Amino acid sequence: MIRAEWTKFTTVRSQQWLAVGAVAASPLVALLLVVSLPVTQGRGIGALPAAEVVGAGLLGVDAAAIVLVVLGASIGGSEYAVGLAQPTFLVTPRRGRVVLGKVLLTAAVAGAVAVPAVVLGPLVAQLVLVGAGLPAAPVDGALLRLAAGSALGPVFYALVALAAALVLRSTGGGVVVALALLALPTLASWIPGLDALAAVWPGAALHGVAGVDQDVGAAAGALSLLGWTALVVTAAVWQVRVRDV
Amino acid sequence: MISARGLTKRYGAVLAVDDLSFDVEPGAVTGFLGANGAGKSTTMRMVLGLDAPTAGTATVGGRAYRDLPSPLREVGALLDPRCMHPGRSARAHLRWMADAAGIARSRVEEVLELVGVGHAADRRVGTFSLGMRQRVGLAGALLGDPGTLLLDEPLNGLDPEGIRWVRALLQGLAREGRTVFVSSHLLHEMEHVAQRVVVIARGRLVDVLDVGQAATVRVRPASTRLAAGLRAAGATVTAVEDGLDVEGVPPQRVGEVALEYGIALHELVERRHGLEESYLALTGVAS
Repeated sequence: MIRAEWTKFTTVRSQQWLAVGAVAASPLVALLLVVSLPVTQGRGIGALPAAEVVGAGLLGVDAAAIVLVVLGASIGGSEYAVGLAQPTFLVTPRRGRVVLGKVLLTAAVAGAVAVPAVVLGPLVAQLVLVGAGLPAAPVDGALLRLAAGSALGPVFYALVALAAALVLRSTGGGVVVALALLALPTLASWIPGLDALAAVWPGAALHGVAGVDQDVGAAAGALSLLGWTALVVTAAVWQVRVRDV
Repeated sequence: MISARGLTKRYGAVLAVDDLSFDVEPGAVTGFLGANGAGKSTTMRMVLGLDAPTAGTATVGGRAYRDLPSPLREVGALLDPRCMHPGRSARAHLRWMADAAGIARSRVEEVLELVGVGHAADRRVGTFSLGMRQRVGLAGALLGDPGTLLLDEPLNGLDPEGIRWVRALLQGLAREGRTVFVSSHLLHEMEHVAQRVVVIARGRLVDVLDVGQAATVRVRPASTRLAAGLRAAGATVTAVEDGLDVEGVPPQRVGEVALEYGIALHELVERRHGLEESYLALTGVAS
């Protein structure tokens, strides 16, 4: 099943270009963010801690995440957009297997994109520091944890986009749901009472794993993330199985 | 063998398929005939497990499609040739199907050549005509060399040469002992390709016809002595214009009876019942 999904992925150029675009987006956006630090922070790069400059470079991963959200939604939504679901479920009538095959493919592709994305973003920031005649930031445990946690975000949101696209039978719907979940903590914080749920959202779990959110530890964050992933995948399997094609 | 028992599908207030029961036997091409919207595609989708019946069951070889251990090796289906990613080549489309079914990729090359798309196998499907897509869809249906084929309007979009080719292909597959179930709303095409026809109207079974089996023998002159002799031989005789329509005995027997009575025949013609008149009579009754 995974081989079939891999063949589908590698034989449609648009999806491969999205993966390449996601890798490229990270260093490009990182460069943009780092060189604009004097404007956004009101201080020159030399006046900022090196770790902060590298942290800004790591935000390039968010750009990769948005492209991967589109890719994840496309892997699910294209089945219905072009009617491919019909031959797919004729060949594999046990539909849960198809969904799990897509989940594994999306996680593998998003992971393979996220790793270079989290390397290239900070690398661009380090090169800017060195190019400005400043010392590079030390690559310590905190930075590595931040990078590892940041790499999980694109994978998770790509899976959310995939699951939502399968449930809604729409690539656009998958993108909207994943971006809404990404923005949910911010939106919820505006509504009185909902800020109590801040620790529950997947964003908090990702921050916990990355070591950004001290209230949510790495273990609790990882568990929460697994729970969210299980929830969205289960919803997709259930909806794909019970509805007519 | 394909079996439907009490198959019913309701969409809200619309009853698309209503208590449909029939069997499709191996060794023959069985047509599935009905007007547009009669419920043919919905029935096929239920047989193939794509849509869940509201009531009733459909089985292939005694098992529900979803329970077949290797569906593509047992059942080949072509429902809608547009259901392919337009950005993928014909070869790539068949390769992912082969990968999902655990079929060797060398088989992809075989079916591409079989359906006559080998020369265009690396072209994107989005650039294909409907007829070319039908051929790719047929290749997908044949990929697992299945014993049962379900094809929904497989002649749509094909040129005359393609139609002849599909007819010969289906009849050849049936001669090999496979179960071939083909839907169409085109009476004359069904008459050319099928040996039996399941006729439905408004989701209900109207009848199962044996194509070209029932026959009438027209003889002239309209002799009352010949009519009596034929009735004595077990025939049903109806006087028409200047001749007799004889049913229930073969043409040779009609000739023998005429000889026995010393009557010179001016005409002896076998007239097979057309599917069209049977269909129209049946669906006329149904409506």
